Amino acid sequence: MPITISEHISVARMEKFCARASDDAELIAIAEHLAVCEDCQRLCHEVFARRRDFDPIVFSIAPETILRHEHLSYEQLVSYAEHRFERDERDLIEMHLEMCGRCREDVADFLSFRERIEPELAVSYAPVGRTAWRDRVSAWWGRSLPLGKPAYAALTAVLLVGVVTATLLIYITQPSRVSDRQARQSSPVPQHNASSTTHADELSIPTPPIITNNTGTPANSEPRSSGQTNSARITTKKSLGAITVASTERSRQSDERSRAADEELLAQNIERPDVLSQIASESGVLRGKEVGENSFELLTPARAVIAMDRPTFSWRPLPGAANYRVQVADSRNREVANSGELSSSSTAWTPLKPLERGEVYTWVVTATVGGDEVISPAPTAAEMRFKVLSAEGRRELDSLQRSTNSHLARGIFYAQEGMIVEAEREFRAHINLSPRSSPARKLLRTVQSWR
Amino acid sequence: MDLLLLPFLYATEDYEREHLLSELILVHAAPFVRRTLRQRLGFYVDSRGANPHNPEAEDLYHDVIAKVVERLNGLRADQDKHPINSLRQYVTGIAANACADYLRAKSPQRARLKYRIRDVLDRHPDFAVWRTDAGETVCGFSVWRAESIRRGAAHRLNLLEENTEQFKAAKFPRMDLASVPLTRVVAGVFDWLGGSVEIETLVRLLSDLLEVKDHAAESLDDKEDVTSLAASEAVLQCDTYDDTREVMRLMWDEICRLPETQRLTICLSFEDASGDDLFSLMLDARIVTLQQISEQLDLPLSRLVSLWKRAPMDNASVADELNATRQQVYKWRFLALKALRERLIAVGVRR
Repeated sequence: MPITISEHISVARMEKFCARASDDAELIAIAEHLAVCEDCQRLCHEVFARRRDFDPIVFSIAPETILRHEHLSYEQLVSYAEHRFERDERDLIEMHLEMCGRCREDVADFLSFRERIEPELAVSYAPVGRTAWRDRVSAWWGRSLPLGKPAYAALTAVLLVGVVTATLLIYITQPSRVSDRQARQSSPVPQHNASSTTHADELSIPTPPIITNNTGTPANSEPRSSGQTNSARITTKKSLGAITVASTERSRQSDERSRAADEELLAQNIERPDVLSQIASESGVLRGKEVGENSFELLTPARAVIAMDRPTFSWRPLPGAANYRVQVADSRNREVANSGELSSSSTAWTPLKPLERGEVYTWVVTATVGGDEVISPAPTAAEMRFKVLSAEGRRELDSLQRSTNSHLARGIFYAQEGMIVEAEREFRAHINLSPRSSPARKLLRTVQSWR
Repeated sequence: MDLLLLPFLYATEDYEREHLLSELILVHAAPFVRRTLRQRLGFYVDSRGANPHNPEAEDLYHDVIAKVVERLNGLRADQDKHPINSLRQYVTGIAANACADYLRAKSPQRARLKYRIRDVLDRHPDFAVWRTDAGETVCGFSVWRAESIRRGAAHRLNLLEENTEQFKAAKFPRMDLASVPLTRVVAGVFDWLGGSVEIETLVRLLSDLLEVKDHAAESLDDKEDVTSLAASEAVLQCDTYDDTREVMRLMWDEICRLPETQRLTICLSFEDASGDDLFSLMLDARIVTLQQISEQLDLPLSRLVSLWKRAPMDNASVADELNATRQQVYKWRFLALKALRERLIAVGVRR
């Protein structure tokens, strides 16, 4: 039953009201009374003022204040790393990162880790001997190129021929069919045409996917490592089954040779890109006083071309360091990024603002130990340089990633752009799938020689 | 001794004492505990100490309240030796210490390791995370999910927990695990266990194996601009109380002009630097009454009161209230704040 208040509110009741400690009916009743009673409004104000010790009201709508507890969740870290935020949400995240050191370190650590672990994602750890039967079948059939498994391809062809021939013989020797065959013998034998499917029985048989596949993926693509089977149609005619299969086998082999030829051609056309000379190791100008044994190593980005315009700079910790500072300069030695003072536990940092694409940069980390500064790389050591992939290169990369799963194609792109680590990773992944692919091995050796 | 405590300390009847203790807690202690948890940790609980989206916040709140109750009960026998001069400050101190203890136990390095592990489990094709028929979230090799491989044997898990050296010697002899790729270490653990394992257990195992240690815990407030709020461009510190009221009135008018979703989002989630919700601030400054708020927000008074008891709310609670996603709430807050700031600048509010 609603409460009606006809007299002024007592101090005790008002205190409970301001603390929201009353039940809903009481709060509603007091609220209705306050709407019409100035004296009780003043009492309400006094109670609130007493609760804040009569300090002045400070009213803030600064997003930095309001967002200070909006720490990034794992899902937000992933979205941040994969650039999947909408602009508004990203702005909020950036605002929070500007004021939250812990989240900045979380982001830096996460991005750095993802970059380092990338090559390991192509290494297989599936337990031996316990692969699901579907995976085993797929893995056996799914060795992408027949050049890798010619013996299997030949054996498959022989088995198919045997099965089809046996089926035909059984069918033909059925007594009821003899008269039919005798009747056909007086008619012209249909001309063999490997591509004809007239009066054909179609067999859908799983085959090594290099023939064609029903998904329409490019001829130079490899299948996924598990779970995907490709099937091709081998048309047969009852009377000419063996010949048709053999003809199809011949045309498949010619596709394989054509692909192998393309790969050979690609492998020959890869030249060492000029950018690798731009970012090669050189001893730079002395940057400070000599340092002794007290030094630490910079990790990434290290003399490489990188795809991200907001790379994560990472280094090994220096025992005893009180803090670190990261500085990045462009090719004209102008500072373009500065981390400010980072805590002693920091080993990575990601700038908030993107670096300009297509530029070559150098970076150093200064550690403070016992009041002294230790700079890495040391003044007598080679500068740490890197280049950010140009905008056009980035667009090409995005387009390539969307359009093909081919490790070979991606590896060639990376190689041409000077992204050696990524190129090696892709070529190795291609070789894992096709161990006998000589073009891929050749490309890998070529890229490795550029280091 | 704080005068608020005297009736409780001198009560003779049990019933009276219980009633007065309850009043002290509900009216004078709990609001400051809630405020401290919001300020220090961003933990939101309503006036009953509930937040279905954050069980840790609920646990911490009730732990602090329990400590305060215990202390007040002990005060009756001990008031001369350890008087409480200000209940509010005393309660705030207990809450602040509880927050610091919570942070110390939280281990940011371990949290980062967990993120790395989850990333590896999500992205490596040979690993997977799935829910079992019993509703547990477990992880392991992808093929185990396909084959419904059961959980790793308990004795293998115990062996690993009790003797990490044996595992290292078997799987990674003479290697420094810190330099082994995490994918390989995870695969090694799965191989050792022979079956799926809960993610938290995996995190715990890898924390031990990799000897993940934390430096002294930093308060989440350390790097934040709590003390530099005055320097923030949108802090309104007016010279007089009347100026403050004028600006707040302006602000309230602008809030009422926002689209409904932004308006409700900002009203329910807003908290100022001292942790007060928007409705309380407006009542405190006598800008509007609850009845007026009800009319201007087009909310029945009963619903408004119910919301006020839970304000300020975290994003998840606001999302529940508005039947939206957290991302939408995030976005609405941003748009509302942006609109309010632009309006303040447009009318030339002095900083």
